Amino acid sequence: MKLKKLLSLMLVGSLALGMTACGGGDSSSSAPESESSAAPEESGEESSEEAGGEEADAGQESEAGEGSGEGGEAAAGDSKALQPFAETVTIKMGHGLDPNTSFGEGESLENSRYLQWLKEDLNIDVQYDWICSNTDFGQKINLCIASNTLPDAMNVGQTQYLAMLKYDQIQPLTAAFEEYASDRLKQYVHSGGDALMDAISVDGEMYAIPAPNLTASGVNTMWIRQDWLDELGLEVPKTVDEVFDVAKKFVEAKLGGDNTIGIVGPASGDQLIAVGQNRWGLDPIFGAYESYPEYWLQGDDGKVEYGSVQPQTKEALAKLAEMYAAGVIDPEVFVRSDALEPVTAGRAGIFFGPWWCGYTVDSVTLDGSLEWAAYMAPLAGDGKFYSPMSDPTTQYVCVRKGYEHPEAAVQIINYLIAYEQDWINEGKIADTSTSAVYPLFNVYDNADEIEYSYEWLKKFNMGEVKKEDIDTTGRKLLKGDLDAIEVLKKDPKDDFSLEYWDLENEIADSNIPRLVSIMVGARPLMEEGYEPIYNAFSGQTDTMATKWANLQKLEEETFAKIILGQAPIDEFDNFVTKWYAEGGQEIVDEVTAAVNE
Amino acid sequence: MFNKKFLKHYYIMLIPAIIWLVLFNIVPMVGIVMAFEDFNPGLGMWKSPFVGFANFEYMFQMSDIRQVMINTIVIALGKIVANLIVPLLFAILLNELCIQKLYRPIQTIVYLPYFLSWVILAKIVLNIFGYVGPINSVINFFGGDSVNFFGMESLFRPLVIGTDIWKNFGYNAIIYLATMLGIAPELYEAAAVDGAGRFRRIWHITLPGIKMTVALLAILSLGNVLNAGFDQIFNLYNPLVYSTGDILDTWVYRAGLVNLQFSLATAVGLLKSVVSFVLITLGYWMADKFAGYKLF
Amino acid sequence: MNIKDNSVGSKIFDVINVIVLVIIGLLCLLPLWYVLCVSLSAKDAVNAGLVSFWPVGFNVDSYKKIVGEGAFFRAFWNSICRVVLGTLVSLGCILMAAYPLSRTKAQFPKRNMFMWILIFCMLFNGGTVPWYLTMRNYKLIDNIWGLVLAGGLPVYNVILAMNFFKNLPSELEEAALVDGAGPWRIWASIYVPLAKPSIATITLFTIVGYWNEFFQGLVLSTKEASYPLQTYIQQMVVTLDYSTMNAEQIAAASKLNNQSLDAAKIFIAMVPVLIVYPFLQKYFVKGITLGSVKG
Repeated sequence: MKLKKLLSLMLVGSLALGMTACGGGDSSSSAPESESSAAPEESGEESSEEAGGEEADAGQESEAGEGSGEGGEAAAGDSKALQPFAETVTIKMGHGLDPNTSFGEGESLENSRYLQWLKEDLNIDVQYDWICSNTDFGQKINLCIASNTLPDAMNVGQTQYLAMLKYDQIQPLTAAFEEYASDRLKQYVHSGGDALMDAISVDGEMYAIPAPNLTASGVNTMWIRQDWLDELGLEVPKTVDEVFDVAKKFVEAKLGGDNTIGIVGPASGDQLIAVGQNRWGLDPIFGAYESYPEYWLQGDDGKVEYGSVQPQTKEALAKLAEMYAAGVIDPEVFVRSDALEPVTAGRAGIFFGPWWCGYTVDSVTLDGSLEWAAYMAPLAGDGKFYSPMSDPTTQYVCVRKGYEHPEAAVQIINYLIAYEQDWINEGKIADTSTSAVYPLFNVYDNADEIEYSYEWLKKFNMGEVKKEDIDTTGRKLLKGDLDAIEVLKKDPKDDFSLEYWDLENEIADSNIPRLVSIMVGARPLMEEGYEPIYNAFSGQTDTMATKWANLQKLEEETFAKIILGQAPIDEFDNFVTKWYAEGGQEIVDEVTAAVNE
Repeated sequence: MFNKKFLKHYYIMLIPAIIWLVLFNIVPMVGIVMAFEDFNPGLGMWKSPFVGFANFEYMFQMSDIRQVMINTIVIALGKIVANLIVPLLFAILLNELCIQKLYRPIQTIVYLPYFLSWVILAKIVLNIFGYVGPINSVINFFGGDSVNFFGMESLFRPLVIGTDIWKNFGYNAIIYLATMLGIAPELYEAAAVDGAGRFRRIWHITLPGIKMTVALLAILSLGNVLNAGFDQIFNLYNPLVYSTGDILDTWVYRAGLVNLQFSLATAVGLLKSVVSFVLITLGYWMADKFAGYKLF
Repeated sequence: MNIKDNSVGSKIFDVINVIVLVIIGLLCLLPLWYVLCVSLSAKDAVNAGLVSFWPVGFNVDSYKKIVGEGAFFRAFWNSICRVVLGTLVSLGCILMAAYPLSRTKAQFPKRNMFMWILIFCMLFNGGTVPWYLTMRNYKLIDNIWGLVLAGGLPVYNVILAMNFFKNLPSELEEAALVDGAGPWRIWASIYVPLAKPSIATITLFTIVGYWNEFFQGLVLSTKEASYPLQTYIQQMVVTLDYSTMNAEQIAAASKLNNQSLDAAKIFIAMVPVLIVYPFLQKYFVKGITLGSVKG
């Protein structure tokens, strides 16, 4: 019994990147049935108004708001984006649902207002093959891949996408996308540039509809206890040595009690360094030495090098070891069960993470007890902040090979993009969120959502522009954010300390975490600037398939031991030699060839 | 005493179990072919390319396989031995308990940790052994420096074995306690009359009374010699203790994160099954040969 | 054993024994106590890691909240059904199969062959994927019988039962044979009643096996309504991977994250276990006189 359980765990646990692209397949995006009954262009508009009417019945009396007009506009612009099917089309899906999700009266996932709207407006009948909790979704979809029992359409991560591609289980979507995607969806997808297109295409055919990653989420900045800095009368640290020094003073002053932690690091299960967003990682300290572990870096000569084995990485590790020995880095780094605990318990002074860490510290922000602020630090020797950036997307909507109506999946996404903002603005979905319930939900947004929001929120907050003058087209949360900051931000408007927010307001709980994330968390990205570093390669080569796990183990082990002083810094040189000898060299050659292809 | 009329009934009694086995254990075993394939779900089990022993060769070519195997076997053997002895000692102590009112409450309490999964227990364990946890507080109180228990290679294996016992010994003791109840009280009384003391009664009556059960459990547990406990180690380990804590199952798991490894996982499963089968057969044969026990 | 023994050594042993056992008991109570404390603490205190072995910000909100959660009780009910049906079916098969297997080779010449088939089935399996496909073919998805049967025959328990039967004295059986009893009567009126503590043990193992199993529950269910309790609980405590989530999902997750509520659910899920065991302990009784035969 034990044996069986273990094996099953192993099996489902072991799905991952495959890379060999079995291009082509039968381009089964056969002429959709609905085409024969090509409805006039206006039908899109009609349907949107119908939807408006329906919703008004369900919710409050809604005036035809600006948003709804936009939806109609979007629909009218591209004839087929929201054109209902002549005959009902059934599409089967799997869904990962947060077990604590709330629904409207009498609704469930299989009977939500979204499904009713989709049925009424697009004649698409969404059914669920299975529903599980969001934490089990990966396991469930992996099992579907392994047993070749995929639902018609699914929204998956990179791991599963590459696997399904490798096993030739999904169909090309170029035709359906070109014909049916709304202009807005096309705009979002194209906002990711060639890098995004490459990530979802094989031989020029799209195999997925991606949700572009927010650019801002890839930038890990320094979050520091502003109230501690003020208490000790310290300046915001800029260089590595200043960060070191400040953290040391935090610890010495025992500002968080006897077990004050200067810098929080990754806990058990977290990443020391990672591609993309990495809360609790120590990437920025590596960045200060212009070291980018885990990244493939292309030089001007086209040669590709692996960041972890570069001499800069040794310098960064030496400094980290010094910091650990001085008691500045969490003594239980790598071992601790949860890095969040000391942070919200007020025992920690500094951690690194992306802009959305405003959500991470929301409990202490909302009760006004701890003041966290974000800065671009530590800076490199030349005074710049180098930030390794995340991959262009991590969410892929795919359609099973052999499913006859891939355009239905595209339309479901169009529909979300066209109306989500109206629904939010008009309060139609206050009791059931799209992110938990809508089929194939992703945040479809411009990659610059956060930067754009910051810019206009700031201007509006300072009274430089009027709300009506801000273009919120396609910015579904911005309007709500503007309303919230108007109510919640107290004078002086340019000081974002906790005391100048209205934390007592009834809308504070639902809005402060986001506003703090943008105004405090994304501030350094906009005001202080950074130098983006891109990963030159995110696929997988043949040698990687067999040797990469081993090399990663070697890397993780060596770095962790050096930082904790369990191995001398010179162990790094042995690591580099070993790394190249045990397959690293072959992989570097393969990656170089792949990148320069 | 062979009775031909009985034979038919013996078969009838076995029928439900055999049907169950065939439908739910044996039919799915066709999946073992995946261990010899480069499994591609798009093609299915029967059309995937056959690769012979390539998955096994791959496993044994890895440079760290030796270390991983040693970790697996050391941890698994430690658990096997400890999980036989500790519950036995506990069962004997409980059996000797002089306050009868405590017997059932203690027996109930000690089996509770078994019902909590490692996801939850790992958090508790890490907190107990953490810098601000009770154990380091005691060490600090006596003037010692805090110990980074789960960050030290040398301590990882004992900690894993120890916490595993903590979780399981109460549950494992049940079977010994049930067996001890089968020992006739008259034997103890007779021994007491003969003037045998406490320890001699344990030695001469309790232990012989359960020796067959101990032997049976020992041999069955040989089947776990490559199962060091994925759930537990996955929730407790970290890069600092890879050298002593990385086991076969965690290794396959990480390999699977890089590259889809259905076939490798099946191959590792098959390897474990074969090793278990060989060891159990060997154990059965040796028990028969040297002690005359026919265990099953 | 309550044999009067008044020697000093024995007295000292008794005292130490009680102390040791009580300490061991407390150590084992620790995790459950921790879960209880978390379930009774304020949510933010739990997230800050302030709760160790005493509730911080005592409240019973979590328990109040559970009362309103249909899904939890549905899963609870599924588990109860699974355990009851499963134990009946499984125990019947185990006890029936264990009897012929406990015969000697002379009485049942093919027993060894069956024995090794069982052992083989205990150790080998084809992995999750073929198993899942087989269950689909049997139409055992979202089906209580899937949860009962899909795990296969618990061979380990058959071996234990066989071992217990083998240890029963053969004299009783021989006496029954003289009376002209057939194998069914011998099984039903001698073996099963006499092996009471052993059957209680196997019953417990079977119940616990069904109760604790969560992975099959996940694979064999296509909707939450068919989850057994441990699958339901497992889905809560597995941590989310923040690195692949977008900002809205993170916001939703941090809003819904409620370790205190999770702990309350875990604690309530332990209640049946706390009830069943003491109940079965009633059958853990001595006094079956086998003494003259075995030693």
